Amino acid sequence: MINFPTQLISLIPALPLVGFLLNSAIALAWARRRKAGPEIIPSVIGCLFPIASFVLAVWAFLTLKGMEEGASLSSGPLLTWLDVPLVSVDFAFLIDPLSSVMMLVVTGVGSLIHIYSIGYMKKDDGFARYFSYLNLFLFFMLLLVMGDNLLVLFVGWEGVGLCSYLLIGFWFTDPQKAACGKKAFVVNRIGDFGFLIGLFLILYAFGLQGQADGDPLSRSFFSYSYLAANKEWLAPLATAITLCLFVGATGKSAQIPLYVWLPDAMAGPTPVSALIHAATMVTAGIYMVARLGFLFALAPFTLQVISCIGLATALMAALIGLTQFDIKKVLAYSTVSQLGYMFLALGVGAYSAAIFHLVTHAFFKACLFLGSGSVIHACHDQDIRNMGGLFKKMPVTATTFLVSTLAIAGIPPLAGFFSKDEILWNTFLYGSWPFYGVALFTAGITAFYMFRLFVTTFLGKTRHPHPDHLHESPWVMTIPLIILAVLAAVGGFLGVPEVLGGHNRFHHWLAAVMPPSVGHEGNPALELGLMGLSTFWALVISLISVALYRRNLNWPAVITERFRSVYNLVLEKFRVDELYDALIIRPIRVVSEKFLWKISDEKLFDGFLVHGWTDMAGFSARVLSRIQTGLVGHYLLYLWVALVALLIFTVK
Amino acid sequence: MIDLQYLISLFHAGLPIWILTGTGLVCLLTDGLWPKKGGTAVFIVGFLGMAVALFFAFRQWLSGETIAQDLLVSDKATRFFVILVIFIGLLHLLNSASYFRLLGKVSAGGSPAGRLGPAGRLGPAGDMVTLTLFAVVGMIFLFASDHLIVNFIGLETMSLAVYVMVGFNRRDVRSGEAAMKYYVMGSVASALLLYGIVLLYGAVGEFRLSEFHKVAIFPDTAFLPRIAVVLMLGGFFFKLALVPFHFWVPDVYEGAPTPVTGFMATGVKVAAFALFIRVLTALNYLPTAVVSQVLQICVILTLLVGNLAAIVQDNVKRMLAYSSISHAGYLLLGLSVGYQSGKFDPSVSSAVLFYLAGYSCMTLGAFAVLSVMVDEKREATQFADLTGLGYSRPVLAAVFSLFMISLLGVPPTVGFAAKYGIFSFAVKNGFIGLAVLGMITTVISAYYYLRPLVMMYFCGAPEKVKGGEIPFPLMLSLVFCAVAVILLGIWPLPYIDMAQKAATAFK
Repeated sequence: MINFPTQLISLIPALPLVGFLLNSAIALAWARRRKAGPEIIPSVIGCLFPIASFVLAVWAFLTLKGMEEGASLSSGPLLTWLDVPLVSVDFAFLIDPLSSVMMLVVTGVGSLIHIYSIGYMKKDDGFARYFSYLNLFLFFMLLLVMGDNLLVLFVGWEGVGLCSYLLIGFWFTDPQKAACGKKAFVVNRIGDFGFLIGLFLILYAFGLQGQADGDPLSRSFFSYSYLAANKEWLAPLATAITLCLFVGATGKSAQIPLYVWLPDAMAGPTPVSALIHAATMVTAGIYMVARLGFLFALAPFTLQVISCIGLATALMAALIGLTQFDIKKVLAYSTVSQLGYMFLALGVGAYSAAIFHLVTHAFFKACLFLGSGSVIHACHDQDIRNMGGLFKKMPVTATTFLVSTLAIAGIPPLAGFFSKDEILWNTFLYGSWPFYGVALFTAGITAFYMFRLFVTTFLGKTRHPHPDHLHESPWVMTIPLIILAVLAAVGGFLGVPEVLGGHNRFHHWLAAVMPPSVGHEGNPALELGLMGLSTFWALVISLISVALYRRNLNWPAVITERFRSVYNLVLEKFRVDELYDALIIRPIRVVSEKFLWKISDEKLFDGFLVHGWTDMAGFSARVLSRIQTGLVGHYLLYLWVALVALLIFTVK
Repeated sequence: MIDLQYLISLFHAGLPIWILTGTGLVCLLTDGLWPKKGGTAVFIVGFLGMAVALFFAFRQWLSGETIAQDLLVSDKATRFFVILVIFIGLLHLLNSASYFRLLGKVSAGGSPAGRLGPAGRLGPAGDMVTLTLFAVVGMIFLFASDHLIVNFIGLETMSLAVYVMVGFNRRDVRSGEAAMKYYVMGSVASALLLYGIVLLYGAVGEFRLSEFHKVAIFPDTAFLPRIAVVLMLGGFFFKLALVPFHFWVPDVYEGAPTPVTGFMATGVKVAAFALFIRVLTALNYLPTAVVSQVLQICVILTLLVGNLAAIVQDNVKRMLAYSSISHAGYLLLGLSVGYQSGKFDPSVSSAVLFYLAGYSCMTLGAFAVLSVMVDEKREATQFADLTGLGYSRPVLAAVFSLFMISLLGVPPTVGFAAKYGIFSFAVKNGFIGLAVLGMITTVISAYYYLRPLVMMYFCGAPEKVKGGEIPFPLMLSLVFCAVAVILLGIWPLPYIDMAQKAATAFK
């Protein structure tokens, strides 16, 4: 096989960018004519470029696989972005085991979702605009995972945020959906602020070392290789830096306390939820922490915070997921919960397990979301209470949904089992019994609410008002579903642990770029035992869930009656939105209005500073314009006066 | 006896100049032969000629070898400025062609204006193209020689062309008034400069800046070069529109046809700065240490007056006139911080060179937008005319906002990168006070740069819909300026590199 030429690296992100430009041109042309043209053009453009990227990414991956361990493909500096005495930043791409995995997920799952979108977005007014946003998203996401320094990552980070905002509010004429987009943007902004402070702290830490001068290479503070080589300089500030960066991750990856935007992000088109809010963008935080694993390893306190937050998020979101009736909301909380698992893995030092779960989660969650999209496409409704019995009407959708449900529930040998079990095992090795217990419990809840979702949606009698209208989705939508379902089924074999006779190839693939797991060597018998326990637990809970919901969909009514207040609390998502509203938004508004606006702004700034200054400036300006008579004679006089003054000043 | 070798090297050294001059002559001829349809033809000929000259100027830049040929200097610095002024000339051609077409189109509605002379004619005005070409030639001569008399001739060539350009809009009485004012004031300034040059010659017996290091100064006549330098500074400050030699600027800038104002605010200033840097470098060899203090005082006055007076203007052109004064102040700040223990270090002028390039892009862009603002036979450049532009002409409003933000100096535009370069040099060389003053006045300038944005976006819809397409040449120049403003802002390194190479050529 011919090795992947490094000159082509920049093509991988550039191709979706070209797609974006072409599709925007088409979208603009259509908007100008006030009439949409044939949908085939934007769909072909929109899909071909990501697929081409995917092919290149596969090629790069195979090349990388053929090289010795620890090797990477680097584009070299494509251009020097910044070169000031303070810092030097190159625009460069890096393909190493970690980024190659991310690239494959982003372009692969991304391409499938692009194809699916052709069917889902059919006859939408913003068809070309949709594809141009989606391509732009892929471009930024690839920047994020391929950049060889933190600033390029940050450009991608902000770019995907922008695309997320644009796509959540895609149907912006609905003010509620537009508001959801805004919420996502604002909440992410809070996280990004933390991220930025982290970046500044890194700069500060290196600045303290007095490395300010010399050749540009010794000033490229943000490149991963530089950070890794000089991490001891960051050690004094490591906890602060990593905490700030983690704040950024909680924003992008929807963790406590900034997860509130993700459920609302479901206002966007469903393929967007699958791509951005399940498979790729929301995992950016996990990628970032894994990428900077060497830095986080210096800050044990941050890792503890990460594991606690991850676990709490996993549990809380799973609990909320139990009570939701909107098919996409259930999946959204499930995503938050699974992301919590990944952070738990990062927190206990099992970086490769986190990335492994990221990959398998991308498969099954994208499949679940696309499946839900297929259902919504047929039902024109998102409430699972109005569904039921769809298995017969939509066999392909239902089957793929079932496979993914089994996968996320952790039933062997599907993908979720291996990745989740690795996280559980590492949590156990980490030596914290309560953590393991809660994580296992959460896995049970996951199985429960996923089967609740499946049974309510696909089994039983149909409760849809127009059952005759229900139909299977067209092939452009079902084929991606099938592919994703297959991946969800077999994806786990990438990382079969040693105790089951596998080689855990995934772990070894990443080992070169990841710090080694912190945990102790485990006992194989114990590992097998725990594996059996979690399998048993998942199976039992799944069966209970199926049994309960098959018999009577309203069985929880008894319990909810009994614990009405607790149930309501969970149903209303622990009232976190209300809590934020009361604790943060309303005080801010009150302070803004009563103090900042009425007193500080109106009295102090406007009244005293602004008008005081402007009065002064205005006065002097009026004097100046009074001098400006418009008469040449006066002007000549001024000229002579100035000249004479100058002469006296100079010659005296 | 003609030395062929000499002629050939002269030809190579000044290739862009000869091309421009030749094109100018062809334009004159074309305009004379086809007076009716000549406008468009002349425009095309002039544009192509400039493009060719630009091509050769670039080749000269890349070739790198310095050709010093008697009265012409063709080093990196000269070539940098040649490229810059030709760019300005090209953009000016694009702006003015559409402007006169628009003004003609609007007035064609049956008014007696249609019968008026060349300026009332439809289509691009041929004379304007010719004048532009000769003005650019004058600009190049202004700095492409180290002989003060050649510089002076260049100055006059440029000024004469610009005087006429200012009075070009014959239907508008303000245009004529502006030309008259500019001419009278400009003559005085030229006289000052010339008298300064002559006195300097009297004192040191040398016209050539590159020979100044050889001259001997007798202590008892040391006051003579000082007086000469003050007179020359007076002339320069006038052309650069620095306080207190700025009084003509608002009136002339307001009265001149809008594209011409843009040309004056950029081209004339760029050329004058180029020579000014050359002169300052040469003055190192004369006992004129006081120059640095004069410059600093001038910077302080210019920044304060320029920024404060801009606040109370009602006319956008007049506001931009004061804005150009204050930008000249920032540029002079960049030069005045080059003084270390009484000697001017020309290497700091790299920041000034970069600033000039960025400033030209954003200013020409802003004036290109104003060139479209023509309404009912007159320029509609009051602030009130901008009301609701964001709704009626979104593209125009967007690019205008971009240029305003860049003039203010907000990242990611070139205005920020340019100001950053100047201020960082100021801080590095220990001129903290000047840097702080520059930053404070930048904050003041936010008031008048953001006002157009408020008018365009937050003052409701326009009273009447002023629609209309943006003419193609103008669109071209708008796109070029907008792209340059952003590109130089987010990726300034290659251009800073160019500016540094050019700055090291000043010796």
